[in-house]
Amino acid sequence: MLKQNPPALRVEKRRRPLNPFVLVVALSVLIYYTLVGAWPFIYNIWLTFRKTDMITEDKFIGLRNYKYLIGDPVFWKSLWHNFYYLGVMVSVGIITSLVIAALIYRTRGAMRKVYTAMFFAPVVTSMVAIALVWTLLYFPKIGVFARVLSGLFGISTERLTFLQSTTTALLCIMIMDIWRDTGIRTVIFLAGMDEIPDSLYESARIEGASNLRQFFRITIPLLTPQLIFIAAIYSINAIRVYIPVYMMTGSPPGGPANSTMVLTLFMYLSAFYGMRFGYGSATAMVMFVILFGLVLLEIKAFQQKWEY
Amino acid sequence: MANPKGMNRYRAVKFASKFSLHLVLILGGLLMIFPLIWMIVSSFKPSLEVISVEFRFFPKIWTLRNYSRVFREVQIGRGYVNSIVVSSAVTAFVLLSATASGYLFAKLRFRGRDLLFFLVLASVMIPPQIIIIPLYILINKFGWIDKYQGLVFPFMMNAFGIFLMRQFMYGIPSDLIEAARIDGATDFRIYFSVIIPLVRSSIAVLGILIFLWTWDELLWPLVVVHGNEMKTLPLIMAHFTQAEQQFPGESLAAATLVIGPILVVYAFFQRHFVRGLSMTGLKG
Amino acid sequence: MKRSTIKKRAVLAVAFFLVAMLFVFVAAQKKAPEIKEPKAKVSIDWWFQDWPGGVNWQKDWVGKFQSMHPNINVNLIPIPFDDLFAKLIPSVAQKTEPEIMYGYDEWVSGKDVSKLFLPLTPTLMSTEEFKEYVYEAPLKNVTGSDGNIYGYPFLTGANAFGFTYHKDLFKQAGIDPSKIKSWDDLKAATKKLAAYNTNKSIKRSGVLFSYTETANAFLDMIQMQGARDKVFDPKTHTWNFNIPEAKKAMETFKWFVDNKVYDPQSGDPFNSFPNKLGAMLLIGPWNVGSSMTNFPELDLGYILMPPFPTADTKLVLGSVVSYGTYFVSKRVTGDKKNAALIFLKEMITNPVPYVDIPFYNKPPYWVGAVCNKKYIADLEKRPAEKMNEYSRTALTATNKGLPAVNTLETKISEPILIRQVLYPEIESVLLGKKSIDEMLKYITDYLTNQEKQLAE
Repeated sequence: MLKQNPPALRVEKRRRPLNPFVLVVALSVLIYYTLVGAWPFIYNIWLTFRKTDMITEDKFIGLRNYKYLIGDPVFWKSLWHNFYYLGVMVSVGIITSLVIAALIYRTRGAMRKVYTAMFFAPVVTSMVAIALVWTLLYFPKIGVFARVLSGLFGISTERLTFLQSTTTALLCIMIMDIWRDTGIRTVIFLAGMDEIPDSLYESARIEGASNLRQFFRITIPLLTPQLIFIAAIYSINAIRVYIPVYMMTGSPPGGPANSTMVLTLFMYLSAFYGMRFGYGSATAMVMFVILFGLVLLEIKAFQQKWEY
Repeated sequence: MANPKGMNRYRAVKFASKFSLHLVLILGGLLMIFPLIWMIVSSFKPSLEVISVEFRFFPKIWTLRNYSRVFREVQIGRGYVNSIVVSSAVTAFVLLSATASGYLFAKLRFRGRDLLFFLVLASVMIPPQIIIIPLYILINKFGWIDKYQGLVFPFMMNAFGIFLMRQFMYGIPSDLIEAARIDGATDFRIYFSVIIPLVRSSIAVLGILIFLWTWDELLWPLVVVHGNEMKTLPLIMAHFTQAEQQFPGESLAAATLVIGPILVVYAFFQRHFVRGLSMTGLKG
Repeated sequence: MKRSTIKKRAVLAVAFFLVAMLFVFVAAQKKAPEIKEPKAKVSIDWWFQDWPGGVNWQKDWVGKFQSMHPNINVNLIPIPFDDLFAKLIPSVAQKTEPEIMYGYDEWVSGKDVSKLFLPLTPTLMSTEEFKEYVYEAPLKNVTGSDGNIYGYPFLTGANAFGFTYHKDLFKQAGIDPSKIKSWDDLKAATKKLAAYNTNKSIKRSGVLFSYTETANAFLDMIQMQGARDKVFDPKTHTWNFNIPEAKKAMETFKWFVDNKVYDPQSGDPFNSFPNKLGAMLLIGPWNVGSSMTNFPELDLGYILMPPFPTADTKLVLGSVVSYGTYFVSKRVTGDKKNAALIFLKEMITNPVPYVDIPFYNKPPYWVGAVCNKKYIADLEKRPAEKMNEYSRTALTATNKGLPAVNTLETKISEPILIRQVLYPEIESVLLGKKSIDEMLKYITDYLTNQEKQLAE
């Protein structure tokens, strides 16, 4: 017996023609992201099961790349460094930008524009070029930062080896990264602060709340969307960080005694230097899983409605 | 106010706090731009002075040698052209695709919409370093290695842009769209006449962001550019520093040439940069 | 039956065809294909490593070459070392490589070069003839599975060779470079050269150790002590650094830190050495030319590394070498192929104009060992007044070291071995983060793992 739709349904189906706009746009997006997203991803998965240098050798080795990855101490080191980066970037980045935004918020008119301009300037600089400048500023013991810090705080220049020391190298890179994007974060916070109605502060002041109290009880909670947004963006960036580390600790790659080795660098080295594309791809898969988890977390956070 | 002395004290305290506020901000601002100032000043020092045992902020010997060497060794003019062409092309494509997709995802319904959106979302999670290999293979098949098309294609659509535009378009009242539909307008028409004008400011924001991000892109040009002709500025910069590690003066000159013009543009248009970003409309 | 007749005829036809092809094939092989000078203008791309001095050298050469062969335009594309390495094999895999590529032989060690590049023999000349021009030892990595040669190694790359030094600092300290004949002499010299601040911290290191060369020197020292077979066994794919020779090598490096003549945190040696934060720099020979090209005010010299204590004195060069090598793309055909081959042939059979450029320029572009026998023969015949410091050093380095070189057959790529593993580990000892024994055990385990994974 033929399956037939009851007449009513059939009519409805015919009434909806194919929307050309939807067709064009959706199809373009589909094709593009298949080529640029889905295909590389599938290819990458396929690579993780192989041992290949792309030309003289290519064979199937099953899950062994993952097994080797788990047994590779440099991989774990890189993973730790990425999370360390995430923690510092997000926390210090947010705090500094919040403080600066709070300060700038209290100014008006021309001065406010000047301050915003000054803090935002590093954002428009090229990361590649600025990483170089900072590498020179960080020159151990006799460089600019070393002299300034030793002059201001009396720290012996012997201890100020920045990128040459295993304990401070990654931190120094993070400081540069935080410095550069402070402007964007500050501006986003400022915009959020501008939207908070004065009446809220008024009523708080009448009730006798100090400025600080107002800040913590009113400002910050109402900035939650911005906070989440920024935490999201910068945590993803921390897992994917590449240019600052590559430019500032490029030779040897990964800094003194591998203290700035991060996943992207590790992946790049395995693939293009070690000619082990399967191994590099396996690292990429790990990164993907982490990013996937992060994005899921952030979507959940975004979807919560914050009511006051 | 009954107490004039108290009034003065109040004014004094208020002035002091205002003063210290501005002082802190000025110092902070100067600290922020200090590396840029140092970069420009030091680019006029001979390389041996940039890193030297005796510390000077201003050059002992002012020299243009670094700049002349950069111009001689490197086709920086060509780099500018390439960067401008590529960044502009990408920005144009992204704005077009992001607004169209934003509208699509925000306001139109169709089968598989959520699945398609998930595909876009997933592409963000793939680390760029590993897209490189299959992408290289793909671009090679198209014959676009070492050409503008190869530089532009991987960036033509931007997931972040799509998210942003979708977010904005949620805020557009659906009645406007319904009204236009009743008037018989196709979605193309609605897109051009209704949607675009409404999100003009966010287009400006997105445009600026995409332009800056594309300008700064290093990894992909590193892989896809083979000859001298197609290098973009960050690539020129990276190559120059790698090859000329010993000559920090020249690297600083190259850095100034790469960063300088953008800073100048920024100085003139900074109002727009900042205002645009503040309208990211992040409502809870 | 008709069918079987047709079948028989078919078989005969095929057999005849095959035999005819065989004749054609054999006949073609007998006559080495003529490399014709292109009649029309042709342009070939050449990827060369970007380093100051190197680029000037090649530009000079391209000018000379193009005056000899006006129809061939050589498009020189300098690419920094890291990128060049990362691009070379992938572009060959993707069929986007240029006609001529410069690289280092260790980039293809452990790989079958016949799958990667155009064979130079018998295309250019027979294998026997080729070996009359080039020493045998450098050809190890560029010989394919079919016995043909796929690359032209012509100079030694950045391996641990010796020390660049500041002549004025040596004079100030009263040190005669020619008297440094042993590591003890070296140590004594560095003690005299080091300078200190009032608080006893190091103001100037007596010697600086640059990064890849230090790792190379480490391997060199182990092999110089005769432990080549102990440290690496290609048959079982195992490394073993838990040997006294390795410990001695590490202790040598550590001596310089412990005796405060080397400050491991003095910054990038490429910046600290020109600034006289170090009096000597352990580096490959190319640095002399490189530094002097851009800092002509520096008066630099170069001394070869003295033989390691208890070393087999024949092995001055050590056996971890890298050779700058030319490769030709296997995809080129027609005029471009001829042009590329003519380019190589000129450099191989007529090496003097090419190799003289770096030694005889002011400042010099490079100094090191030369793999081309014809060039060395020319140097040996050259009258003393026509030799200078650099050509003399080249002669000594080549004669003393080149023929005895025997590279390790590891499957681990050089950048991973040297840059990602050995150097960071050496650094961790010099910075006091690990003890020597810990480090030796770590690299033994790590490298053996890598080797086994690559060998499966």
